[in-house]
Amino acid sequence: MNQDPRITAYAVGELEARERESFETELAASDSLHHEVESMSGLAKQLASAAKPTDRFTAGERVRLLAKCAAIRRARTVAKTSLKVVLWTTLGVAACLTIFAGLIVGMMVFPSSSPQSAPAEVAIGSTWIADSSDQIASPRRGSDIELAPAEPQARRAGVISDVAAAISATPAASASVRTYKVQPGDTLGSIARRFYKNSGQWQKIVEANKGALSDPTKLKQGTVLIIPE
Amino acid sequence: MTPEQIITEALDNYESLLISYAREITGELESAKDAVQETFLRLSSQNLKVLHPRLRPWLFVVCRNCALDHVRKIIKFSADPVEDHERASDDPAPDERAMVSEEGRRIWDLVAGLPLQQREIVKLKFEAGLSYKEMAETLKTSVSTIGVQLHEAMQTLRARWKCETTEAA
Repeated sequence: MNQDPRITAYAVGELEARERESFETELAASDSLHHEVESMSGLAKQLASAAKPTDRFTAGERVRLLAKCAAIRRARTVAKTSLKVVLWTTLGVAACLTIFAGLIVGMMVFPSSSPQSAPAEVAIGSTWIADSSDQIASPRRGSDIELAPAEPQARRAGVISDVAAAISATPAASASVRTYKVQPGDTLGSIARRFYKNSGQWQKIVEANKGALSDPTKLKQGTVLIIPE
Repeated sequence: MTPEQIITEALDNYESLLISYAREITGELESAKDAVQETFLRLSSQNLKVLHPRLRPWLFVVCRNCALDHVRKIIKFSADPVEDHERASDDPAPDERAMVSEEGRRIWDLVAGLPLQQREIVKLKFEAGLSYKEMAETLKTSVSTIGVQLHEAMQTLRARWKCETTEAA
């Protein structure tokens, strides 16, 4: 008897393509091998062609089995759904906690980012410009004087002076001051009459010019007097 | 295909084959049916869409495990466990098999005289139609071992068949 397992494997169609080609070459060259294969193929066909077994579940057993299977499937679906709900709830809570923690960390790391302290963030080179519509001052970067951190010191200094000039140009400082240069023959009464239409208002002029008038009764020609409103 | 359809179809296609295979291991019909029932209950708890492509070898693997569990239980509770197991496995009850011919019945009678491992292989190959690879997966062995054992079983069957036909003549 030939002990080569390829004989049975060939008879039942289990050899792979390359192995089958190689075996068929041997088969063509050997009568005894050919006889072995024919004999084994005949036996395999007899075994395979025999009727299949007929043992089955009874109708009742089959119904009960399918019902049990369906119950297991339902339980599995419920468990799966519950798991999904728990998973999504956990993920949702985790996401909320992460966002909340992020906000807290953000407030701790960037405390100046709150709206109340916004002016503190205005960099050197920025200009405060009054909003004409609602009178609320808002920061606006002047593009011509905006500074990058690496810009030269000289330009930085120039910008600072711009800011100082802007600060000095407040409404109070820029209000016009009325003055009058004393002419020959002027008296405090005649000057008061000229500006206030009332010579009795001369004391206002004296009050405003205490430093310049050592003696109110003696006006010097050419003295510049401040005439208050 | 829904999971319920997969289970019903598997029951239609493999019920008899699995019972026959389990009976080869347990030696009697009722415990073989129990093993097959347990197989389908386990199938119900699986992800069937993933399992479906390799359903056939999976069914035979699980059925075999369930049948072997049954045999182990018999051994555990038997007064003479080894003899009982040997009787169950090596002297299986005759199949309720509707053979196409007398010749076919006689050949399968000869199969019943093979050792358990060879009987399993012959049944898996010619009854259930499993490939060498699927049989290797079911029996937890290599494809080459399956090839060698099936060839040995076939040689034994052929020799016994030759003797039987010569005696009959």
